[in-house]
Amino acid sequence: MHVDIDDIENPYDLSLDQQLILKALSNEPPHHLKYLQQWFALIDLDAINYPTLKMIPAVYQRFGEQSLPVEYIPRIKGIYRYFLLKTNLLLSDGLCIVKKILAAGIPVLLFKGTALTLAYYKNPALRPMNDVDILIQKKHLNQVEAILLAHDFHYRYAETEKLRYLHSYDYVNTKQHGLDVHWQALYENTAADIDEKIWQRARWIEWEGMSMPILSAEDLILTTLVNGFRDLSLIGPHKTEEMHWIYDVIMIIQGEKIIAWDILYSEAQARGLTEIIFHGLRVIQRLSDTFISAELIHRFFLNNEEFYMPLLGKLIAEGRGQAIKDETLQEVYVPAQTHQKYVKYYLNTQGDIETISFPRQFSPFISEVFKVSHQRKFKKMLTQALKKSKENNLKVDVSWLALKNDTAFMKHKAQITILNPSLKSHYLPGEMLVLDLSILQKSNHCWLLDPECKKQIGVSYHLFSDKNKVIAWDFMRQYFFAPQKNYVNFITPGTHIRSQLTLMLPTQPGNYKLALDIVQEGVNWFSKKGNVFPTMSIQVVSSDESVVLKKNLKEAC
Amino acid sequence: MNLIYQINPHILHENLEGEVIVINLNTGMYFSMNAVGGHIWSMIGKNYTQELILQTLARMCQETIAAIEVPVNNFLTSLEDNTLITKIIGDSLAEADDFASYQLLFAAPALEIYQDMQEMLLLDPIHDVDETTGWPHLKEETNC
Repeated sequence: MHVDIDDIENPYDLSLDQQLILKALSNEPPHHLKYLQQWFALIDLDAINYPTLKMIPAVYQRFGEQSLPVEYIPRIKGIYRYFLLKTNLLLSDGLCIVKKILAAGIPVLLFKGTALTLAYYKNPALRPMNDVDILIQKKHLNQVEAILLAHDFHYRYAETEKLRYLHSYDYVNTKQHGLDVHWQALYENTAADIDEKIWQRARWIEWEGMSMPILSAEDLILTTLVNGFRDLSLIGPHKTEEMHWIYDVIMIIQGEKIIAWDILYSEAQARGLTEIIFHGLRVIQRLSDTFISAELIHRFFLNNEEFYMPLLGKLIAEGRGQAIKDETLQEVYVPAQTHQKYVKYYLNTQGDIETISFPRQFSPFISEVFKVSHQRKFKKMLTQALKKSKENNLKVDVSWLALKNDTAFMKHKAQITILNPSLKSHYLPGEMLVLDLSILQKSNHCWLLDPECKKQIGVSYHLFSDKNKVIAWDFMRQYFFAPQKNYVNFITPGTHIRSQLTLMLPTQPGNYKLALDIVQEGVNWFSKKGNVFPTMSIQVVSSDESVVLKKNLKEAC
Repeated sequence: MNLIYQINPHILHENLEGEVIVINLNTGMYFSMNAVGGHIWSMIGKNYTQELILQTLARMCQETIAAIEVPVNNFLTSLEDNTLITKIIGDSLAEADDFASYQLLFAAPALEIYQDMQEMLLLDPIHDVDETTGWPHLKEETNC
């Protein structure tokens, strides 16, 4: 079966102004100038957002004053000065503290913005950032934290917040210069030895006369794409302004003679991140075939059935099956039951909904998940459309529909079931506990994701002492919705949601209670609305105690 | 060996199409200088002596040394006072044809000093700034 790359929908679409600025910055002369002029014709400097502002120093550096609109020159130059100062001061403090960590004999790997600046951008003004990111080994974490505390840095948030973070802690000094200490390169992968190869592949660069290891080009591309896409999925596809990660990858590709794509692909495979890498590379390939060719994507992704079959299955499940060339495939790859339902909508030039597309079985929910101005007329129109077409996926021209902005509902009802066959009674400090959960949507209305994706719904937990005193309330959430651009996403009553939640256990020995809960962000916790969810009593013991407990348990058996 | 100027370590400087900006990474202070100051800064970058700076600048500006001596020396002192440069014994990197093709209208070299950069960095570099000069020059109403 042949899968055409252009048939697979991309979850990330660049706006025209994003495409133009990226093309202006990365294309060869003389075309780069054409894109720059088109970009300036499209934008209003007074109205640009922060992600675009961060691209301005690179524009100034590449084109100089002679190619910029005269009225913008002073402010564009000022933006360059601003980031030149800001990023250099940040890096200067970062260098000082990294030297202290190295002096203590602790290996440090530079990555993210710092590594990209030093290895590819060369000029800190061109790569605005808010913190210096370092990777260390987890065994050195306490030592590194002690060094930071002794040198004007403090943990950026309340100490209890640390429990939420599985791969890094954010420190900041009194000048508000951040240093993010990562003991795992990526939030998505927290297995103990997952970064071993990243450390082995590290390359060396010069930083102010000091030799420092940074991530290899392949690992930098991997982490840049994953971080870029993670932020995207957290804020939802309606807010796709951030684009420096795309330029970062282009800078790496342009700065290297050879990229070992096979290494990048195997690392992504080992981490279960091939889909993210595929979509990330496609964003860049769609921008220009010069940086990443369609052939390369075919070679690594679309020639590999193990990769694309699940993706196609997902597309079918989402009603976006144009990628399927083989008619029999639908029978072979029956999509897994997905808890998230959807209606795709298309807007006219005035921004009003003019067409909706949805699988036939979702039609009963449409009048609930949209704001309908004329219920009776709309229902009549929908009934006619359903009668007229025999297709499973319907595309209907509609009137009287608008997006629902207020998705906060009054009566939240849900049930959580822990599916793990058994759980231990005691754990080591800082150990991670992975819970398999089944969540039942018991409300009498749909759970709906708001258009801004700010009111996500997800499962999380709270930490209590054994005397029911709250130790930490907020932890990482496992959201139920995967936002899609131009889709209304909802979960219908009676739906079972399968979810996996990782709990990071306290670092201090003691007896604790972990209470599961569901949150609608910015609205409320379900437990505050009368829901009762499972609570687990756990004992955190030091490693010595753990040995004794295990021995006692054996003897008792 | 002569008494030459050198730019101190921890000093970052960049020439933005004729405008020299200098950052002291130790103090976080930001400096900018006018065109004449920028040329003097370039000479310091090549470890010129005080005498050679005066001679070169006088030739570039078609002025006498006496006419420019006081403002130039004041400027050099100001750079030293702000720990941007130091005098040391060493060899100059000056070459005979340095600045040979340059012509400049003399104006007293001036060093603009911005001290409270943490505050300045909290400003919006598009909307809080003077549209004709850009950051770090603030709008009239923002500048208190």
